[in-house]
Amino acid sequence: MREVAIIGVGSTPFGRVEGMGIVELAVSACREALAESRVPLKKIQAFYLGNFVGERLANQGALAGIVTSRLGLTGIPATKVEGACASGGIAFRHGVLGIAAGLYDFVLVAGVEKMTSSPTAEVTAALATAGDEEGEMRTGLTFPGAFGIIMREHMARYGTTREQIGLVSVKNHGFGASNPKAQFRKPVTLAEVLNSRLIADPLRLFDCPPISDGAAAAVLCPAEWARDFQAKPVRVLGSGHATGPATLWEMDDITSFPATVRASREAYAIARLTPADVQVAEVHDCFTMAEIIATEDLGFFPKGKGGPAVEEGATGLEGKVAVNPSGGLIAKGHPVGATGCAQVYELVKQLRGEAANQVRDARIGLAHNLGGSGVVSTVTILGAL
Amino acid sequence: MLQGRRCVECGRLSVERSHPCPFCGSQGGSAVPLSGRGRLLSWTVIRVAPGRYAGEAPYAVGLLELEEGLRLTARLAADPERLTADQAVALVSLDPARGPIFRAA
Repeated sequence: MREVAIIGVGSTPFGRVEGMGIVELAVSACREALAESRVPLKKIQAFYLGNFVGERLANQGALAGIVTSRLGLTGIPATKVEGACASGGIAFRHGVLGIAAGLYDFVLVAGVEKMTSSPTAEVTAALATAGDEEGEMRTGLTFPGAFGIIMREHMARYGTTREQIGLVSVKNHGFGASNPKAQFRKPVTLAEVLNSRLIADPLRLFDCPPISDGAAAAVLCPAEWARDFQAKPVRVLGSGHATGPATLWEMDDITSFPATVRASREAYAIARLTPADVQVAEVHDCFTMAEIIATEDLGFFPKGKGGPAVEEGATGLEGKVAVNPSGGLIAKGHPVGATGCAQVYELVKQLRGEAANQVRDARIGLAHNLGGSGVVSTVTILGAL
Repeated sequence: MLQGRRCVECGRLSVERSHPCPFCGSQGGSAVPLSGRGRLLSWTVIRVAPGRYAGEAPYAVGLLELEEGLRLTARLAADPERLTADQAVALVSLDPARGPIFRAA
Protein backbone atom coordinates (compact mmCIF):
# COMPACT_ATOMS: atom_id res chain seq x y z
CA MET A 1 0.00 0.00 0.00
CA ARG A 2 1.32 3.45 -0.85
CA GLU A 3 1.50 6.27 1.67
CA VAL A 4 -1.00 9.05 0.94
CA ALA A 5 -0.70 12.81 1.51
CA ILE A 6 -3.05 15.79 1.42
CA ILE A 7 -1.64 18.58 -0.77
CA GLY A 8 -4.55 21.01 -0.87
CA VAL A 9 -7.72 21.77 1.06
CA GLY A 10 -10.64 24.13 0.57
CA SER A 11 -13.79 25.08 2.44
CA THR A 12 -16.69 27.47 1.97
CA PRO A 13 -17.84 29.40 5.01
CA PHE A 14 -20.44 27.37 6.94
CA GLY A 15 -23.86 28.75 7.77
CA ARG A 16 -26.63 30.23 5.70
CA VAL A 17 -24.69 30.73 2.48
CA GLU A 18 -26.91 33.00 0.38
CA GLY A 19 -26.85 32.82 -3.40
CA MET A 20 -25.01 29.50 -3.66
CA GLY A 21 -26.72 26.26 -4.57
CA ILE A 22 -25.45 22.79 -3.72
CA VAL A 23 -23.36 22.48 -6.90
CA GLU A 24 -21.77 25.90 -6.52
CA LEU A 25 -20.86 25.17 -2.90
CA ALA A 26 -19.08 21.96 -3.87
CA VAL A 27 -17.38 23.61 -6.86
CA SER A 28 -16.16 26.50 -4.69
CA ALA A 29 -14.51 24.24 -2.09
CA CYS A 30 -13.01 22.02 -4.81
CA ARG A 31 -11.55 24.99 -6.73
CA GLU A 32 -9.89 26.26 -3.55
CA ALA A 33 -8.39 22.82 -2.81
CA LEU A 34 -7.19 22.40 -6.40
CA ALA A 35 -5.63 25.86 -6.49
CA GLU A 36 -3.82 25.23 -3.21
CA SER A 37 -2.48 21.88 -4.44
CA ARG A 38 -1.13 23.37 -7.68
CA VAL A 39 -2.00 20.08 -9.40
CA PRO A 40 -2.94 20.70 -13.03
CA LEU A 41 -6.64 19.90 -13.54
CA LYS A 42 -5.92 17.26 -16.17
CA LYS A 43 -3.95 15.19 -13.63
CA ILE A 44 -7.00 14.56 -11.41
CA GLN A 45 -8.09 10.98 -12.06
CA ALA A 46 -11.08 10.44 -9.75
CA PHE A 47 -13.60 12.32 -7.62
CA TYR A 48 -15.44 11.16 -4.50
CA LEU A 49 -18.20 13.33 -3.07
CA GLY A 50 -19.94 12.91 0.29
CA ASN A 51 -23.58 14.02 0.39
CA PHE A 52 -26.54 12.88 2.48
CA VAL A 53 -29.76 14.76 1.76
CA GLY A 54 -29.08 16.62 -1.52
CA GLU A 55 -31.75 14.75 -3.41
CA ARG A 56 -34.41 15.55 -0.84
CA LEU A 57 -33.46 19.09 0.24
CA ALA A 58 -31.77 20.46 -2.90
CA ASN A 59 -33.61 18.38 -5.54
CA GLN A 60 -30.28 17.31 -6.97
CA GLY A 61 -29.15 13.78 -7.74
CA ALA A 62 -26.14 12.70 -9.84
CA LEU A 63 -24.22 15.27 -7.85
CA ALA A 64 -20.72 13.80 -8.28
CA GLY A 65 -20.94 13.84 -12.08
CA ILE A 66 -22.47 17.31 -12.21
CA VAL A 67 -19.79 18.81 -9.95
CA THR A 68 -17.09 17.03 -11.97
CA SER A 69 -18.38 18.64 -15.17
CA ARG A 70 -18.65 22.08 -13.61
CA LEU A 71 -15.01 21.78 -12.52
CA GLY A 72 -13.90 20.98 -16.08
CA LEU A 73 -13.12 17.39 -15.14
CA THR A 74 -15.69 15.71 -17.39
CA GLY A 75 -14.64 12.17 -18.17
CA ILE A 76 -13.11 11.00 -14.89
CA PRO A 77 -14.95 8.52 -12.67
CA ALA A 78 -17.03 10.39 -10.09
CA THR A 79 -18.76 8.73 -7.15
CA LYS A 80 -21.26 10.10 -4.65
CA VAL A 81 -21.00 8.46 -1.24
CA GLU A 82 -23.82 8.37 1.33
CA GLY A 83 -23.39 7.33 4.94
CA ALA A 84 -25.66 9.85 6.67
CA CYS A 85 -23.58 12.40 8.63
CA ALA A 86 -20.42 10.34 7.94
CA SER A 87 -20.74 10.72 4.14
CA GLY A 88 -17.77 13.11 3.93
CA GLY A 89 -15.51 10.88 6.01
CA ILE A 90 -16.34 7.88 3.84
CA ALA A 91 -15.72 9.88 0.63
CA PHE A 92 -12.32 10.93 1.98
CA ARG A 93 -11.47 7.34 2.84
CA HIS A 94 -12.31 6.15 -0.67
CA GLY A 95 -9.95 8.74 -2.12
CA VAL A 96 -7.21 7.50 0.22
CA LEU A 97 -7.88 3.87 -0.73
CA GLY A 98 -7.70 4.67 -4.46
CA ILE A 99 -4.21 6.11 -4.10
CA ALA A 100 -2.99 3.64 -1.49
CA ALA A 101 -3.97 0.76 -3.78
CA GLY A 102 -2.11 2.32 -6.70
CA LEU A 103 -5.27 2.76 -8.76
CA TYR A 104 -4.89 6.56 -8.98
CA ASP A 105 -2.16 9.14 -8.37
CA PHE A 106 -4.27 12.30 -7.95
CA VAL A 107 -7.74 12.25 -6.41
CA LEU A 108 -10.16 15.03 -5.46
CA VAL A 109 -12.50 14.41 -2.52
CA ALA A 110 -15.25 16.66 -1.17
CA GLY A 111 -18.38 16.80 0.92
CA VAL A 112 -21.35 19.13 0.52
CA GLU A 113 -24.81 19.92 1.88
CA LYS A 114 -27.36 22.66 1.24
CA MET A 115 -29.90 22.70 4.06
CA THR A 116 -30.96 26.23 4.96
CA SER A 117 -33.39 26.66 2.03
CA SER A 118 -35.72 24.02 3.51
CA PRO A 119 -38.19 24.38 6.40
CA THR A 120 -36.90 22.96 9.72
CA ALA A 121 -39.56 20.23 9.78
CA GLU A 122 -38.40 19.02 6.37
CA VAL A 123 -34.74 19.07 7.44
CA THR A 124 -35.62 17.13 10.62
CA ALA A 125 -37.55 14.56 8.61
CA ALA A 126 -34.72 14.22 6.06
CA LEU A 127 -32.09 13.72 8.79
CA ALA A 128 -34.33 11.21 10.58
CA THR A 129 -34.00 8.89 7.56
CA ALA A 130 -30.55 8.01 8.94
CA GLY A 131 -32.36 6.08 11.67
CA ASP A 132 -33.96 2.65 11.38
CA GLU A 133 -37.55 3.54 10.56
CA GLU A 134 -39.19 0.21 11.35
CA GLY A 135 -36.88 -0.65 14.22
CA GLU A 136 -37.07 2.65 16.09
CA MET A 137 -37.88 5.93 14.34
CA ARG A 138 -41.56 5.09 13.80
CA THR A 139 -42.04 5.55 17.55
CA GLY A 140 -41.56 9.29 17.00
CA LEU A 141 -37.96 9.26 18.18
CA THR A 142 -35.69 11.94 16.67
CA PHE A 143 -31.88 12.18 16.69
CA PRO A 144 -31.89 14.74 19.49
CA GLY A 145 -34.25 12.31 21.25
CA ALA A 146 -31.86 9.37 20.86
CA PHE A 147 -29.07 11.48 22.32
CA GLY A 148 -31.40 12.65 25.09
CA ILE A 149 -31.94 8.99 26.08
CA ILE A 150 -28.18 8.35 25.86
CA MET A 151 -27.41 11.49 27.89
CA ARG A 152 -29.73 10.51 30.73
CA GLU A 153 -28.05 7.09 30.87
CA HIS A 154 -24.51 8.54 30.81
CA MET A 155 -25.42 10.90 33.65
CA ALA A 156 -27.03 8.12 35.73
CA ARG A 157 -24.27 5.60 35.19
CA TYR A 158 -21.15 7.76 35.45
CA GLY A 159 -22.32 10.77 37.42
CA THR A 160 -21.67 13.02 34.43
CA THR A 161 -23.25 16.37 35.29
CA ARG A 162 -25.51 18.57 33.20
CA GLU A 163 -22.90 21.32 33.70
CA GLN A 164 -20.04 19.19 32.33
CA ILE A 165 -22.09 18.39 29.23
CA GLY A 166 -23.05 22.05 28.81
CA LEU A 167 -19.39 23.06 28.97
CA VAL A 168 -18.82 21.27 25.65
CA SER A 169 -21.13 23.85 24.05
CA VAL A 170 -19.38 26.72 25.86
CA LYS A 171 -15.96 25.48 24.67
CA ASN A 172 -17.05 24.92 21.07
CA HIS A 173 -18.90 28.22 20.77
CA GLY A 174 -15.78 29.87 22.17
CA PHE A 175 -13.73 28.35 19.35
CA GLY A 176 -16.38 29.23 16.77
CA ALA A 177 -16.21 32.86 17.83
CA SER A 178 -12.66 33.10 16.49
CA ASN A 179 -13.03 30.85 13.42
CA PRO A 180 -13.95 32.96 10.35
CA LYS A 181 -15.48 29.90 8.61
CA ALA A 182 -17.83 29.14 11.54
CA GLN A 183 -21.59 29.64 11.51
CA PHE A 184 -21.79 30.86 15.14
CA ARG A 185 -19.30 33.62 15.81
CA LYS A 186 -20.05 34.53 19.41
CA PRO A 187 -19.34 32.85 22.75
CA VAL A 188 -22.13 31.53 24.97
CA THR A 189 -22.19 31.15 28.75
CA LEU A 190 -22.98 27.98 30.66
CA ALA A 191 -26.12 29.68 31.99
CA GLU A 192 -27.28 30.36 28.42
CA VAL A 193 -26.75 26.70 27.49
CA LEU A 194 -28.55 25.40 30.59
CA ASN A 195 -31.44 27.83 30.16
CA SER A 196 -31.89 27.31 26.42
CA ARG A 197 -35.15 25.63 25.51
CA LEU A 198 -35.60 21.89 25.87
CA ILE A 199 -35.52 19.99 22.56
CA ALA A 200 -35.47 16.38 23.81
CA ASP A 201 -35.02 16.13 27.58
CA PRO A 202 -32.50 16.52 29.04
CA LEU A 203 -30.98 17.86 25.80
CA ARG A 204 -31.44 21.58 25.07
CA LEU A 205 -31.11 23.84 22.05
CA PHE A 206 -27.47 24.81 22.70
CA ASP A 207 -26.55 21.13 22.96
CA CYS A 208 -27.38 20.86 19.23
CA PRO A 209 -25.67 21.92 16.01
CA PRO A 210 -27.40 24.36 13.62
CA ILE A 211 -28.85 23.70 10.17
CA SER A 212 -26.07 24.64 7.73
CA ASP A 213 -24.90 25.02 4.15
CA GLY A 214 -21.30 24.32 3.28
CA ALA A 215 -18.70 22.29 1.45
CA ALA A 216 -15.11 21.20 2.04
CA ALA A 217 -12.59 19.47 -0.23
CA ALA A 218 -9.11 17.97 -0.36
CA VAL A 219 -6.62 16.91 -3.04
CA LEU A 220 -4.69 13.69 -2.41
CA CYS A 221 -1.55 12.19 -3.97
CA PRO A 222 1.16 9.65 -3.07
CA ALA A 223 3.19 10.97 -0.12
CA GLU A 224 6.48 10.58 -1.99
CA TRP A 225 5.43 13.28 -4.49
CA ALA A 226 3.68 15.59 -2.06
CA ARG A 227 6.49 18.11 -1.64
CA ASP A 228 6.54 18.77 -5.37
CA PHE A 229 3.11 20.35 -4.98
CA GLN A 230 2.83 21.60 -1.42
CA ALA A 231 5.45 23.01 0.98
CA LYS A 232 3.52 21.68 3.98
CA PRO A 233 1.91 18.39 2.98
CA VAL A 234 0.00 16.37 5.55
CA ARG A 235 0.30 12.59 5.63
CA VAL A 236 -2.63 10.20 6.09
CA LEU A 237 -1.23 7.97 8.83
CA GLY A 238 -4.26 5.78 9.35
CA SER A 239 -7.86 5.38 8.25
CA GLY A 240 -10.64 3.31 9.79
CA HIS A 241 -14.24 2.72 8.72
CA ALA A 242 -16.75 0.57 10.58
CA THR A 243 -20.46 0.02 11.13
CA GLY A 244 -22.52 -0.49 14.27
CA PRO A 245 -26.12 -0.95 15.45
CA ALA A 246 -28.63 1.57 14.09
CA THR A 247 -31.00 1.37 17.06
CA LEU A 248 -30.61 1.96 20.80
CA TRP A 249 -32.13 -1.42 21.71
CA GLU A 250 -29.51 -3.28 19.69
CA MET A 251 -26.68 -1.62 21.64
CA ASP A 252 -25.39 -3.53 24.67
CA ASP A 253 -24.29 -0.20 26.13
CA ILE A 254 -25.96 2.96 24.82
CA THR A 255 -23.15 5.17 26.17
CA SER A 256 -20.61 3.83 23.63
CA PHE A 257 -20.69 3.51 19.84
CA PRO A 258 -19.12 0.24 18.61
CA ALA A 259 -18.60 1.75 15.12
CA THR A 260 -16.36 4.48 16.59
CA VAL A 261 -14.43 2.00 18.72
CA ARG A 262 -13.85 -0.32 15.74
CA ALA A 263 -12.92 2.45 13.27
CA SER A 264 -10.47 3.99 15.75
CA ARG A 265 -8.82 0.65 16.48
CA GLU A 266 -8.25 0.17 12.76
CA ALA A 267 -6.87 3.68 12.30
CA TYR A 268 -4.57 3.51 15.36
CA ALA A 269 -3.25 0.09 14.25
CA ILE A 270 -2.43 1.28 10.73
CA ALA A 271 -0.83 4.48 12.07
CA ARG A 272 1.01 2.52 14.81
CA LEU A 273 -0.11 5.19 17.25
CA THR A 274 -2.10 5.33 20.47
CA PRO A 275 -4.68 7.88 21.67
CA ALA A 276 -1.93 9.52 23.80
CA ASP A 277 -0.08 10.51 20.58
CA VAL A 278 -2.94 12.75 19.37
CA GLN A 279 -2.66 16.48 20.13
CA VAL A 280 -5.70 17.73 18.22
CA ALA A 281 -8.98 16.02 17.35
CA GLU A 282 -12.01 17.04 15.34
CA VAL A 283 -14.74 14.75 16.68
CA HIS A 284 -18.39 14.34 15.73
CA ASP A 285 -20.15 16.58 18.27
CA CYS A 286 -23.59 16.26 16.66
CA PHE A 287 -24.70 16.93 20.24
CA THR A 288 -22.67 17.93 23.32
CA MET A 289 -23.13 14.43 24.73
CA ALA A 290 -21.73 12.93 21.53
CA GLU A 291 -18.43 14.80 21.95
CA ILE A 292 -17.93 13.38 25.45
CA ILE A 293 -18.76 9.86 24.26
CA ALA A 294 -16.40 10.26 21.27
CA THR A 295 -13.50 11.27 23.52
CA GLU A 296 -14.13 8.11 25.55
CA ASP A 297 -14.66 5.78 22.57
CA LEU A 298 -11.51 7.13 20.88
CA GLY A 299 -9.50 6.32 24.00
CA PHE A 300 -8.56 9.85 25.03
CA PHE A 301 -10.23 9.34 28.42
CA PRO A 302 -11.45 6.25 30.30
CA LYS A 303 -15.15 5.39 30.04
CA GLY A 304 -17.18 7.77 32.17
CA LYS A 305 -14.32 10.27 32.57
CA GLY A 306 -15.14 12.36 29.48
CA GLY A 307 -17.38 14.70 31.48
CA PRO A 308 -14.80 15.58 34.16
CA ALA A 309 -12.19 15.96 31.37
CA VAL A 310 -14.20 18.82 29.85
CA GLU A 311 -14.57 20.48 33.24
CA GLU A 312 -10.81 20.21 33.90
CA GLY A 313 -9.96 21.78 30.55
CA ALA A 314 -8.36 18.58 29.22
CA THR A 315 -10.13 19.11 25.87
CA GLY A 316 -9.24 22.80 25.62
CA LEU A 317 -6.53 24.35 23.45
CA GLU A 318 -3.90 23.79 26.14
CA GLY A 319 -5.34 20.47 27.34
CA LYS A 320 -4.22 16.87 26.95
CA VAL A 321 -5.96 16.76 23.56
CA ALA A 322 -7.55 19.84 21.98
CA VAL A 323 -11.03 18.78 20.85
CA ASN A 324 -12.90 20.60 18.10
CA PRO A 325 -10.79 23.79 17.88
CA SER A 326 -12.78 24.61 14.71
CA GLY A 327 -15.86 25.02 16.89
CA GLY A 328 -17.04 21.54 15.96
CA LEU A 329 -20.42 20.76 14.47
CA ILE A 330 -22.08 22.74 17.27
CA ALA A 331 -20.50 26.12 16.46
CA LYS A 332 -18.72 25.76 13.12
CA GLY A 333 -21.91 24.27 11.67
CA HIS A 334 -23.03 20.88 10.37
CA PRO A 335 -23.76 20.70 6.65
CA VAL A 336 -24.06 16.96 7.15
CA GLY A 337 -22.41 15.57 4.00
CA ALA A 338 -19.56 18.10 4.25
CA THR A 339 -18.64 17.53 7.89
CA GLY A 340 -16.14 14.66 7.43
CA CYS A 341 -14.16 16.66 4.87
CA ALA A 342 -14.42 19.85 6.95
CA GLN A 343 -12.78 18.00 9.84
CA VAL A 344 -9.89 17.09 7.53
CA TYR A 345 -9.70 20.73 6.37
CA GLU A 346 -9.34 21.93 9.98
CA LEU A 347 -6.70 19.31 10.86
CA VAL A 348 -4.63 20.10 7.76
CA LYS A 349 -4.63 23.78 8.81
CA GLN A 350 -3.68 22.74 12.36
CA LEU A 351 -0.81 20.51 11.21
CA ARG A 352 0.50 23.26 8.92
CA GLY A 353 0.34 25.74 11.81
CA GLU A 354 -2.24 27.88 9.98
CA ALA A 355 -5.42 27.29 12.02
CA ALA A 356 -7.67 30.03 13.41
CA ASN A 357 -7.42 28.45 16.88
CA GLN A 358 -3.96 26.98 16.59
CA VAL A 359 -2.95 24.09 18.86
CA ARG A 360 0.70 24.64 19.74
CA ASP A 361 3.14 22.14 18.19
CA ALA A 362 0.36 19.99 16.73
CA ARG A 363 1.98 17.01 14.98
CA ILE A 364 -0.76 14.36 15.04
CA GLY A 365 -4.45 15.03 14.41
CA LEU A 366 -7.51 12.75 14.46
CA ALA A 367 -10.84 13.19 12.66
CA HIS A 368 -13.91 11.26 13.83
CA ASN A 369 -17.08 11.22 11.75
CA LEU A 370 -20.29 9.46 12.91
CA GLY A 371 -23.45 8.60 10.96
CA GLY A 372 -26.92 8.42 12.50
CA SER A 373 -26.83 7.23 16.10
CA GLY A 374 -23.77 5.10 15.43
CA VAL A 375 -24.64 3.08 12.32
CA VAL A 376 -21.34 4.08 10.68
CA SER A 377 -18.12 5.83 11.65
CA THR A 378 -14.83 6.82 10.08
CA VAL A 379 -11.62 7.74 11.90
CA THR A 380 -8.70 9.36 10.11
CA ILE A 381 -5.30 10.04 11.65
CA LEU A 382 -3.17 12.73 10.03
CA GLY A 383 0.40 13.81 10.64
CA ALA A 384 2.64 16.66 9.57
CA LEU A 385 4.92 15.24 6.86
CA MET B 1 -50.51 -9.40 22.31
CA LEU B 2 -46.81 -8.72 21.96
CA GLN B 3 -44.81 -11.45 20.27
CA GLY B 4 -41.06 -11.84 20.24
CA ARG B 5 -38.63 -14.04 18.41
CA ARG B 6 -35.96 -16.24 19.95
CA CYS B 7 -33.02 -16.80 17.63
CA VAL B 8 -32.17 -20.44 17.00
CA GLU B 9 -28.45 -19.61 16.68
CA CYS B 10 -27.58 -17.01 19.36
CA GLY B 11 -30.63 -17.48 21.55
CA ARG B 12 -31.31 -13.75 21.87
CA LEU B 13 -34.82 -12.38 21.97
CA SER B 14 -36.04 -9.54 19.76
CA VAL B 15 -39.37 -8.03 18.80
CA GLU B 16 -38.68 -8.19 15.08
CA ARG B 17 -40.36 -11.48 14.33
CA SER B 18 -40.40 -11.13 10.58
CA HIS B 19 -36.68 -10.41 10.13
CA PRO B 20 -33.46 -12.33 10.49
CA CYS B 21 -31.99 -12.01 14.00
CA PRO B 22 -30.80 -8.38 14.42
CA PHE B 23 -27.90 -9.56 16.57
CA CYS B 24 -26.43 -12.40 14.48
CA GLY B 25 -28.28 -12.43 11.14
CA SER B 26 -29.55 -15.98 11.56
CA GLN B 27 -32.77 -16.80 9.71
CA GLY B 28 -34.04 -19.39 12.15
CA GLY B 29 -36.15 -18.37 15.12
CA SER B 30 -39.30 -19.25 16.99
CA ALA B 31 -42.16 -17.04 18.10
CA VAL B 32 -42.26 -16.34 21.83
CA PRO B 33 -45.22 -14.67 23.57
CA LEU B 34 -44.13 -11.68 25.65
CA SER B 35 -45.73 -10.53 28.88
CA GLY B 36 -45.64 -6.88 27.85
CA ARG B 37 -44.28 -5.97 31.28
CA GLY B 38 -40.90 -4.45 31.95
CA ARG B 39 -39.00 -1.47 33.24
CA LEU B 40 -37.78 1.86 31.92
CA LEU B 41 -34.03 2.09 31.37
CA SER B 42 -33.85 5.63 30.01
CA TRP B 43 -36.14 8.08 28.24
CA THR B 44 -36.54 11.45 26.57
CA VAL B 45 -39.37 13.89 26.01
CA ILE B 46 -39.68 14.84 22.36
CA ARG B 47 -40.57 18.54 22.21
CA VAL B 48 -39.62 19.09 18.57
CA ALA B 49 -41.34 16.23 16.76
CA PRO B 50 -41.00 15.06 13.17
CA GLY B 51 -43.73 16.52 10.92
CA ARG B 52 -45.97 13.44 10.99
CA TYR B 53 -46.23 13.55 14.82
CA ALA B 54 -45.93 17.32 15.31
CA GLY B 55 -49.39 17.60 16.86
CA GLU B 56 -48.54 14.98 19.51
CA ALA B 57 -45.52 16.74 21.11
CA PRO B 58 -44.49 16.75 23.86
CA TYR B 59 -44.42 12.97 24.17
CA ALA B 60 -42.05 10.49 25.80
CA VAL B 61 -40.02 7.79 24.08
CA GLY B 62 -38.15 5.28 26.21
CA LEU B 63 -35.65 2.46 26.05
CA LEU B 64 -37.31 -0.44 27.86
CA GLU B 65 -36.24 -3.81 29.12
CA LEU B 66 -38.99 -6.39 29.21
CA GLU B 67 -39.27 -9.14 31.84
CA GLU B 68 -38.07 -11.70 29.31
CA GLY B 69 -34.79 -9.78 28.98
CA LEU B 70 -35.11 -8.11 25.59
CA ARG B 71 -34.94 -4.39 24.95
CA LEU B 72 -37.01 -2.17 22.72
CA THR B 73 -37.51 1.50 21.99
CA ALA B 74 -41.16 2.51 22.40
CA ARG B 75 -43.57 5.38 22.75
CA LEU B 76 -44.78 5.93 26.30
CA ALA B 77 -48.39 6.91 26.92
CA ALA B 78 -47.53 8.58 30.22
CA ASP B 79 -47.11 12.03 31.70
CA PRO B 80 -43.52 12.80 30.65
CA GLU B 81 -42.92 14.83 33.81
CA ARG B 82 -43.68 11.87 36.08
CA LEU B 83 -41.38 9.25 34.62
CA THR B 84 -38.58 7.86 36.80
CA ALA B 85 -35.66 5.53 36.18
CA ASP B 86 -36.39 1.84 36.66
CA GLN B 87 -40.10 2.39 36.85
CA ALA B 88 -42.39 -0.42 35.82
CA VAL B 89 -44.07 -0.19 32.42
CA ALA B 90 -46.74 -2.26 30.70
CA LEU B 91 -47.97 -2.65 27.15
CA VAL B 92 -51.10 -0.66 26.29
CA SER B 93 -51.58 -1.36 22.61
CA LEU B 94 -49.92 -2.18 19.32
CA ASP B 95 -50.17 0.92 17.19
CA PRO B 96 -49.92 0.15 13.46
CA ALA B 97 -47.81 3.27 12.83
CA ARG B 98 -45.94 3.86 16.08
CA GLY B 99 -45.38 0.28 17.22
CA PRO B 100 -46.00 -1.00 20.76
CA ILE B 101 -47.18 1.71 23.16
CA PHE B 102 -46.41 1.38 26.88
CA ARG B 103 -47.73 3.05 30.02
CA ALA B 104 -46.41 3.46 33.55
CA ALA B 105 -47.46 0.39 35.54
